[in-house]
Amino acid sequence: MVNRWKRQAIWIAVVLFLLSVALVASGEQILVLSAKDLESYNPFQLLGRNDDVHVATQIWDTLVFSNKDDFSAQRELAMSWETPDAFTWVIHLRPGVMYQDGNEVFPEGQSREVVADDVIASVNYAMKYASNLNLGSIVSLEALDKYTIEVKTDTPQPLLLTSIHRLGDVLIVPPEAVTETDTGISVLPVGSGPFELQSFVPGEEAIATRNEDYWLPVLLDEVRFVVIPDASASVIALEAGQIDVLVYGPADEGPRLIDEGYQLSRRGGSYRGVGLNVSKPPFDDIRVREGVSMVLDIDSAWQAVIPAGFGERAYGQVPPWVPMGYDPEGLKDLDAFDIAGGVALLNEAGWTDSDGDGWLDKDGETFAIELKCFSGAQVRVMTILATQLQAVGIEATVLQQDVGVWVDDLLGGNTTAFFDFSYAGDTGLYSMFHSTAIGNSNTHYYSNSEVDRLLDQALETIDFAERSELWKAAQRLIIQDRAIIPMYFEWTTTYVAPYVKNWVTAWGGGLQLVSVENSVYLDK
Amino acid sequence: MLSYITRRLLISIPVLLGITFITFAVLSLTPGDPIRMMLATEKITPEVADTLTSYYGLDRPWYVQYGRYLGNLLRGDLGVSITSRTSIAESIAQRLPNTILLAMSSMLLALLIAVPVGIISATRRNSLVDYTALTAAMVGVSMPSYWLGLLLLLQFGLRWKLLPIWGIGHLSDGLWDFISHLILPSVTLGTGLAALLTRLTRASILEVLSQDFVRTARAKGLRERVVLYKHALRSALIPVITTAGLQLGYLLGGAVIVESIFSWPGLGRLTIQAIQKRDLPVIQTSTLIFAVAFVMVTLLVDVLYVFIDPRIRYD
Repeated sequence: MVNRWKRQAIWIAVVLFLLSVALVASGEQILVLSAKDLESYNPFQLLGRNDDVHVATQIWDTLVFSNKDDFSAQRELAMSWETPDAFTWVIHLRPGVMYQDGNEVFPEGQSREVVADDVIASVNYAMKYASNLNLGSIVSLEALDKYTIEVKTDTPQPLLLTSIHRLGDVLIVPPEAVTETDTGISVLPVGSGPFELQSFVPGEEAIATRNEDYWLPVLLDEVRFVVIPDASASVIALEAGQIDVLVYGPADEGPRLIDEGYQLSRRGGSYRGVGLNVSKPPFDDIRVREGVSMVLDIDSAWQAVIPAGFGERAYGQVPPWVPMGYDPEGLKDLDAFDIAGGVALLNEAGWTDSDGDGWLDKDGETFAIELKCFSGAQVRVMTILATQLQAVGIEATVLQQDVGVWVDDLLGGNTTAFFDFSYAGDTGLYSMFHSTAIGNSNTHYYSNSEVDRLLDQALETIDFAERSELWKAAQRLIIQDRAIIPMYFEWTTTYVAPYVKNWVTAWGGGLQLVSVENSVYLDK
Repeated sequence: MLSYITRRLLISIPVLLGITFITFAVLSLTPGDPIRMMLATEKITPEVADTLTSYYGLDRPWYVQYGRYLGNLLRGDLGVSITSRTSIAESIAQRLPNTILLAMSSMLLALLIAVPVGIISATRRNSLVDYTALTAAMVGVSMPSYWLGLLLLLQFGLRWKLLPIWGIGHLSDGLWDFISHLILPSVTLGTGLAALLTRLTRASILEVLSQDFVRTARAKGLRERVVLYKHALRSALIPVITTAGLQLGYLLGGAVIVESIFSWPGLGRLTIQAIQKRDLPVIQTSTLIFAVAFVMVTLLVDVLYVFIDPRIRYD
């Protein structure tokens, strides 16, 4: 009897062992990523919705993507490019890249190559429908041969291919997959990307499987994007092993997750500062702007809120991930934390505590400002700053608003000081401070003809180093004018399970799961 | 009965029209619009913003916009989302069944707990069981659903790994997949309601048990079970059903937090996202859907009275 039980136990153990070996050997490579929401994968109607962009860029290739080290353009469908003159770009496509087959557009074995005409058609669709892309300067597109496209612009466009929201962000689709209707454009999910879309359920999940014929090795069998809108729930899902990658995770949880062995991948992020409306009192007076910026201890404020390693002190608006204009060393001398000096400047501007009530006043009016901001870690930073302002006699309060109301107030000029936020791309200075953008993205109502001139010149300057110097000069003027009080750059953080290898967080585009630089795989 | 239902349905038309008007008026007065938000976040250029504003008619007077919306609505055209450019009808069709499923399962769970516990609590008044039930109900009513949801996620999802943390299950993936995804959201959403209905059931039964017809039934020598289940319970359930019906309407619209925590792809989450992005057509449509659901549930509750209490007649 005992022997029978022993035999059975041994058999069970053997079967279990074989099963586990078989499971490991099968090595199914399924990567599960979090998303805040999924709405549509339509490549021409993504409107910068990050999660949808992440899905779409697995299905369709772009001409270039940003290099993992220095954010410069890296080859994807475009093998090389040149600019014979300031108004012309010539782009050479990679030959032999095939569209996915076995679908409604291309039956099995009947696919075709990506060619120059596809790029031209895709750019035309993007110009017509993708309203977030900035392609208005393109005046003509011509296929010089099967793999070469000539792009003409009406002004010099040195950033046309490399800047986000420009040509490099256009997803290349086969026109056979596109249907234009009275109400818009619909596109079947067939591209030349590393994964083929199997299902897309808005608000729920998207599943894509490996494109076996991709021109680069794809090591993952399947990619799943699952919608987890709540930040706390997404962290729990990561720790429970139900997702492998938490994209755009909360910085607050970072130190703990890193201690638990998760990889932190950060790339790009956003600029955060205090914006001042220079068109209205009290900040229409440079002495007041200067005084206020001097009494604020920015370092202690942002470091009290943002965990170490998740942000960087900002001395200007251009962040380190933009390949031109980042200039902390050149701007540091403009950051002068000096409470006594700041108060003296405010007094010089007429703001004194004349009635002894503890608040500065001028012409019978108390110096009172509302720091308008929307929810997030910045509320805590702004609260610390408000306390610092109160300590010198400025009646500062933090007004936390709904994003829509905050935007409305900023665009309408219904502000004095506000939380200043920008994705800080390589056109950030222009959109935030050029006088032509006043009332739109220039919510500081800032105008300086010299800054305008420098920014205009930079936009049309081909030479990279020269452009960068122009950008730095413009930025220095803006900081000298105290249109903004820069606080910090906050990294975009992605938490990755330890067994996910070769992970690269993309900047300004989709997830970089497969590229000439990397191919993600799981080593569980 | 049929004429009553027809009358109620006809009355609901001006109610729903009023709701569309109020929604439209409130949205018109609320600061912020989707195009300006895209503009401020550098997603579109000023020229594109002008084009989109004109395309969606946001530059027209409010009464023109409202008229156009009503006209499209009458033709069955719910329009497209301004932010995602997807069909609103499709979005609603995908998400409404999920919200109904969550609301119904939460209601079922709440009733399955509340009615038996309320009865036991009432029939054993001032006993240990009664005090325990009342205390549990008090705790249940007081617990914020966000806190409870995260607690359940931590315990059952992360620590014990018994139940999935996110998403919705599908019958095509098996019955357990379907049910396991439903458990935590339903418990989170249904707990507060179960607590409320438990207290209501108890109070209602206690009140009915002290009425003359119950005393008469007892005097006739009927067994206590018969008195309770055949005579008292029917009357006692009327306020419970009324409250449950109204709460079902709230569940449909109020599942937003639970839908967010558990990544439940429902209408509540769609509405909140639309509000955040000021996606006016989506907000208008989802508000209308909630209003229709509320009107229909209220009508259903009124019709149910007839079956529960034979004294009620509408004809």
